[in-house]
Amino acid sequence: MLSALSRFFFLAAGVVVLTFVVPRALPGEPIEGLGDTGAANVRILPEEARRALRTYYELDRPLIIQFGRYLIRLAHLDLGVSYSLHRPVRAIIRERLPYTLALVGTSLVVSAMAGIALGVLSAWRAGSGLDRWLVNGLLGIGALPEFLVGLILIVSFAVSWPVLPAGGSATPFLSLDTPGGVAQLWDRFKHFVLPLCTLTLASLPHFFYLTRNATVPVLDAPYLVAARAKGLGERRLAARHAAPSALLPVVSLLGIRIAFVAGGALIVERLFNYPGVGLLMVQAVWSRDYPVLEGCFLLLSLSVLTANLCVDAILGRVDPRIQGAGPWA
Amino acid sequence: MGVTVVRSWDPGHLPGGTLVGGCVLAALMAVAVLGRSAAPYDPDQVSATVYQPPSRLHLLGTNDLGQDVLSEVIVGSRLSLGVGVSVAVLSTALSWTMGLLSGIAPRGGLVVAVGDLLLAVPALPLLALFVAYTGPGVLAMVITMGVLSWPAFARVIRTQVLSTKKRDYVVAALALGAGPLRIMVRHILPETVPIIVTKFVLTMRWAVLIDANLAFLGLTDPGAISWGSMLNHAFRDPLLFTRRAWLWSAAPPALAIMGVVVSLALVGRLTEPRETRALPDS
Repeated sequence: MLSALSRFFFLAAGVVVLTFVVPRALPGEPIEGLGDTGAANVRILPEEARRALRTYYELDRPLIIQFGRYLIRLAHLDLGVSYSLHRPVRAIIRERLPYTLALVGTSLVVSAMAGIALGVLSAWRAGSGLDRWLVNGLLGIGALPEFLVGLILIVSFAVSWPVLPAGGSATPFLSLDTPGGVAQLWDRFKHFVLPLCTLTLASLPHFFYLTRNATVPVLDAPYLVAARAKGLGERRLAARHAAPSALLPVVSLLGIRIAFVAGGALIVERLFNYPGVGLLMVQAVWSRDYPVLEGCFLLLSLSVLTANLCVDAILGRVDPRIQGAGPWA
Repeated sequence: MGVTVVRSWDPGHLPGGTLVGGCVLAALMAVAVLGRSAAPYDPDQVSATVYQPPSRLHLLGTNDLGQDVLSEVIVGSRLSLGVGVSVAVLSTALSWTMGLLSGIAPRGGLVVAVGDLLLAVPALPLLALFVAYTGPGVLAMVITMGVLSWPAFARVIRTQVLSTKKRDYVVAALALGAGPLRIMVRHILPETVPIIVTKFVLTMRWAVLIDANLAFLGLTDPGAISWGSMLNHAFRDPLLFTRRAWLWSAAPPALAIMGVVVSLALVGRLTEPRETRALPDS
């Protein structure tokens, strides 16, 4: 656990430093976005105003002092004030976070569980028609970028056969017609389904392959033969004896996928206009809203690192042979 | 235990999918090389009325500005594939250098530590952060993507170098008085070549995807025609799916991206060792 923990702190410090360095090392200035309204970057600030802004944001101070102040602000969870929305970044992110958390969390759980189930099923019937269909079909889906999968889903379930909404997180003004919890909840759920499916389909193939490839080799293992000889049913054999051999790689994969799913949230939220942190970050790039952008980046990266730390802790529980090593040993 | 040598490039053993993938890729590459000269219309010019369905004059119809979609797809292939190839070249070169250096240099672990940071952070948000400052130029984009995508394979190469260093024939060469440079170039470098080929194919696929993703997010230069920017343009229209026009304004670039990505995945299966197939992208 110790090495995983020290790794976590090293990487978290790296992310914090990176967020400080990138705006200052790359061409382009943080105050650049202040002069325009976001649509077209045509308004150019006069030199006078630039200097005043630089002084106001303390960009003319020595780097070491800037860094110190940045750390102090961060320690107070002060992420600054948004250029375009004129509100504290922390408040904006707090509004958007539940959407992304629900999306990313549910998608990870669903894709892992469905991937394991399908993987064991496929391995159990290795070589059969079902196995071939699953392997090739999921290979195809896995090769597609998220927005294409989402596009196909929109076209199928919102355009050709319009049963689900194509975007947004709720029907506007629904609360005015039908006051009451259930209808609204159902409406929110309907808006949640397609983004969730898109994000899930991006991860499911990885879990499927890993489980299938980890289960096939143990199919003829002596312990399975022995369990079968005891008279255990096939279902119990698959679920209790064969599947656990895939548990370890699947949990490590969970750690790897978290970063991808967090990135996928940007795409999926933009595609479905789903008001989470991902969409907020994309909009922040559009409007050059640097405080929001950096806040979102810090939040996403640090959450991914924390989730990885948790995965490490779980790995140690799943297999006591791993002592604080995790997938990076 | 004997080592089975499989000659991957033996055409007799090529799986069908790989062959198809290779052909699709070659065809798209040829189109990209021809570029504007293969396009029936100038994609920057308005050549017909808006949202024309496919016809003999405009094989894929026209978009919301009246530009010929087929010409756009053809001209866009140059940027999309060009970004893919250049990022793959840059990233592979970086991976190779970093991997070799970290395997040989005494403080090689430092390189791995820096790489770890880039690996642990989600790639798309990191790219978005970089792009927001560097601006949406193609060159800046290529450099950013190349610089951010080397660590995964640098690690694989480092492991290979570390294990090769201990092999008997390297020790023998050392005993015969070969210098470090000779050992590196003649004895260690060749061992890493198969990994590099895999890395190149995987990274090109990753770059085409990420470029399309970034363009879709509206983070690339909207003036430059690429498949991603076509998609982004189509999706700017909030009523996209209320007309049938999405069939020829959004579907062609999407299919083109899909073609490249699937082809590269099929070609990549040939070069990848079986064990690494479940590895994530880049």
